[in-house]
Amino acid sequence: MRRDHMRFLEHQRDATVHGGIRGARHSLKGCIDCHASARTGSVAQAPTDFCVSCHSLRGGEDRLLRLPQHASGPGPGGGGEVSRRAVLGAAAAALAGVALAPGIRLIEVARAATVPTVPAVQPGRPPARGPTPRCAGVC
Amino acid sequence: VRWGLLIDTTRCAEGCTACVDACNAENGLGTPSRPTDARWIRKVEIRELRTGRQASVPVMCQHCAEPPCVDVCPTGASFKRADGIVLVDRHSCIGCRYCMMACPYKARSFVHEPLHDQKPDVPRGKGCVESCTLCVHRIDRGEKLTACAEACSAAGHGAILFGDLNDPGSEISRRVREVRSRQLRADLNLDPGVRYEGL
Repeated sequence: MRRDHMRFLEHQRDATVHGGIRGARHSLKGCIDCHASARTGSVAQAPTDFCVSCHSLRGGEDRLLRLPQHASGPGPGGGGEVSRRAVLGAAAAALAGVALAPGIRLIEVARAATVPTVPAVQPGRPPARGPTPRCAGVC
Repeated sequence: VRWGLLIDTTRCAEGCTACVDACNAENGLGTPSRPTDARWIRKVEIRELRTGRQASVPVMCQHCAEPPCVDVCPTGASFKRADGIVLVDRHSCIGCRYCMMACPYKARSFVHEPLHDQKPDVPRGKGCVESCTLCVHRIDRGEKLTACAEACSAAGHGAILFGDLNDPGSEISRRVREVRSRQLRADLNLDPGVRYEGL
């Protein structure tokens, strides 16, 4: 469970969103109702809370931890921001034809796009009037 | 099962925003302050130029049987559930807003700003398109009433009727069978699940 919970949650997520299955076995709220700490009433507020106790070791931003269900704990109430960065990054990578996994590749793509494509001006000669500079093909 | 709404525009009161407020409260939308804030229901005031007849119409996602937003979505995030509810899968939505362009009812909103104080039942996200879900979390719990219909009844108008259009015994099916109602932009052949009476 500890190793594969993200696959499990993703499967349940799709079952909930697309199939409308929201029973106790598929409810993220249900997971959190049990796992929330008695002290903070949350799974992600204090460093010792259920999700953060492992995820702080991984050092990465987990977009699931920003879901309102995590922040509010059991019962109705407020919550945090759902970060879209991870999803957007993956989607942008897919569109740009880059491997889905690391964010580093994405930054490389972005850098490549900023490399100037204007032809260098030769000293002593009038500036070349070549074709209009275009972008590196990302737009 | 095909969930739908029947809206009686003769009962919908001008200036009343009970359904809009209930929707905002139910889904944690807050009170919209900027023009770009999410609105899942809009009250549209219409007036016939020749006769001056006025009507007030709540317009939300019409939950089309042939939804153009689903047709154009490049990632498959816009989808129609088996029970006819058109939703956005926020995990797949990349925020391209193509569906907003495709929707003839302008029913969708884009979330521009970071969100706070969300409802656990309605997780939302900056960078996603969203629209009326027909209170899908309530339906999946087994409730047979959307927040807007509940608020409209509580306000004493009873202009919004929610139910299963495919069940011949349901109240909405009976009303649709007996009373003349129409779909908005029926010429587009999208077969919306929201019907309007008295337009």
